[in-house]
Amino acid sequence: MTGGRSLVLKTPNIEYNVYLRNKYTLLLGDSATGKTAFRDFLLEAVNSSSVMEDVYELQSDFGSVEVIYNESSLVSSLSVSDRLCVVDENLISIVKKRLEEIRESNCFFLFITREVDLYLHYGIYDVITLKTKQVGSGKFLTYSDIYANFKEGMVYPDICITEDSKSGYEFFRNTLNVECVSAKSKTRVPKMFSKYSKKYDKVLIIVDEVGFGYEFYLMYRKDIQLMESKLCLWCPYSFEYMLLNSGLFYGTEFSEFLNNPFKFCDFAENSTVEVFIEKTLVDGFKELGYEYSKGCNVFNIRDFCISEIYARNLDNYSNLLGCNEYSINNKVVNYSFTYMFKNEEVSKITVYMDDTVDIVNYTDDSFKLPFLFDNVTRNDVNMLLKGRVFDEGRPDKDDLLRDIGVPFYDTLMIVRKTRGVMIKDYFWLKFFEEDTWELATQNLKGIRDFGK
Amino acid sequence: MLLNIWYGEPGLKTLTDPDLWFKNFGKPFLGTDFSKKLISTIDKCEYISNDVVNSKYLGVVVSDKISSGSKTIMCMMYGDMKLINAAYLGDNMIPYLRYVADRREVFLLSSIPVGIYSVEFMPDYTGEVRILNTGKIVKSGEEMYEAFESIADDTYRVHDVLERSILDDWRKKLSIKDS
Repeated sequence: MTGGRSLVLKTPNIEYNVYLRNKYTLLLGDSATGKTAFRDFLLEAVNSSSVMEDVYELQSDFGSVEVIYNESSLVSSLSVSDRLCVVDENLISIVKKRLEEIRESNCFFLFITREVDLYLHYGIYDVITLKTKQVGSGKFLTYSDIYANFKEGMVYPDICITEDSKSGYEFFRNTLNVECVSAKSKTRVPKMFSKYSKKYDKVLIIVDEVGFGYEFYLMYRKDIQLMESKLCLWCPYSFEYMLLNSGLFYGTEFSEFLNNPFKFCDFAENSTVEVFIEKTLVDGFKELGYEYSKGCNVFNIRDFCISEIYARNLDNYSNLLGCNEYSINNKVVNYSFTYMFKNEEVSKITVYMDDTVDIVNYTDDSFKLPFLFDNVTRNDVNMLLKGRVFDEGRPDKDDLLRDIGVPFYDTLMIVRKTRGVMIKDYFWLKFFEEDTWELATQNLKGIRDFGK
Repeated sequence: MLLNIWYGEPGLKTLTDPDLWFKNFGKPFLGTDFSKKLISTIDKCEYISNDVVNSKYLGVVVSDKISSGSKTIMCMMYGDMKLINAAYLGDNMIPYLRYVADRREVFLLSSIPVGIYSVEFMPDYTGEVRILNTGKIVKSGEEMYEAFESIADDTYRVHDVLERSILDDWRKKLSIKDS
């Protein structure tokens, strides 16, 4: 019983086309847009005899479709698997009574209601609104998820609110370079948004898409005007999804999975897509020799292909990273690091997206300085970085990459992991504020004794 | 006149079902000017008789086919003042809700603090809103939200049940009689 199913109902005047990603979908809309009419048409189409076939045309990916009309029809439907149950708003009180049975059932549910506090796990894409459009003499219905209005958001946030307080929060706090606060629970996100939107111009909210439907709708109804002007919402399925999508795992089938994980998620075994994604990630890491558990990371999440995570998960990541201190003199920074001699800062090197380079030297000792000439270019910095990683032609390249957790040979990614520490000298590259010579050398096998 | 809101769950025999009300009592009110205007703007229907309307999209249909939102507004305007589930009202019903609330005491049941029943959503509405759970009268969307937060749990849900006796008490206090 996997997700991503569609239902098409054609009547002489109207065509309904609904796509259901997850187990639960909510259909909202203004009064008199045709929600109850849709239920009525569906009821007639499902129960129609062969005489009526020309009037209604019903195509669906489901085993069967049932329009629920009372409590007993709901109960009898719950025992059937692969069925779509359509529930209208006057039966919501019955739904609330039988939540446990609904959760355990193998059915899909389409709720036609504005009562969104259903205590069920639905994502923000699963709240869809029905709008009526008139073209000629016919009536066409269009669906849109309310999230669509906020996808194209602003790019320079002043503050970032994350849903969880564990690995995801740690990751964003260390990489985003804007003030990052944790809401500690998704239910507190609307409140946090109200609070911070008064103080700041642009607020970035990063939440797991799955299960945020109710809270998002609350925000949508309460702060719609604030949201339109101040909110940028980033909703990956979960932080685990971002890790899966960071380039560590390969394969054509796997890329299909990443595009539409709900199509692979069996809702009979997994209550939500989030659970399924976490299971997949844990299995994937096991094969790589790591152990991953939520909230308790045995390896440092920050080192984990940061640029890749952003590049693959957020289209406008370079703009996002180009906020605050990452944007200097109106130029967007590609990357920057400090060239170190043990714990002594030698030079601060900043490479911009337009290939220009800024170098600030903290010492006059020509023995330590990385560049002894002016007009340093990106190529020169690349040569410096290349000199501080192992050679691409090494026969044991793949083993080394696997050891340090980099999916493919990329100088910048490797040097971020190894900090450019070499066995032959005391120089290294400081990418993160809290790095020290001791920490940088501790992480590398065979270097430990030398470092001390 | 005030808009009265109960946050939480309805008790036994407190909630009015607009569909049922319309079927049994509401049809004679379909011929009033207010109802005619309501169904013509919201449902795009033309009044023919109490039992039949001419819909722009569905053709000539029985009057039961008009939207639940229109039935709800009619029930508020002409029915007895029991509790109405606010989830039956879409955003396009705001002007009509305001119209009714200016003339009669309206009792709404709501599970969330926002939407059509929020003062913020009705910028022109000069009246006040009474939160039945606490008896407090609020004058702005912010106050309404605060009142909701004070009675809601961590997940933004209120579990209070409106028993029939509480509703009757309020009706007595506001000296409302069944129509």
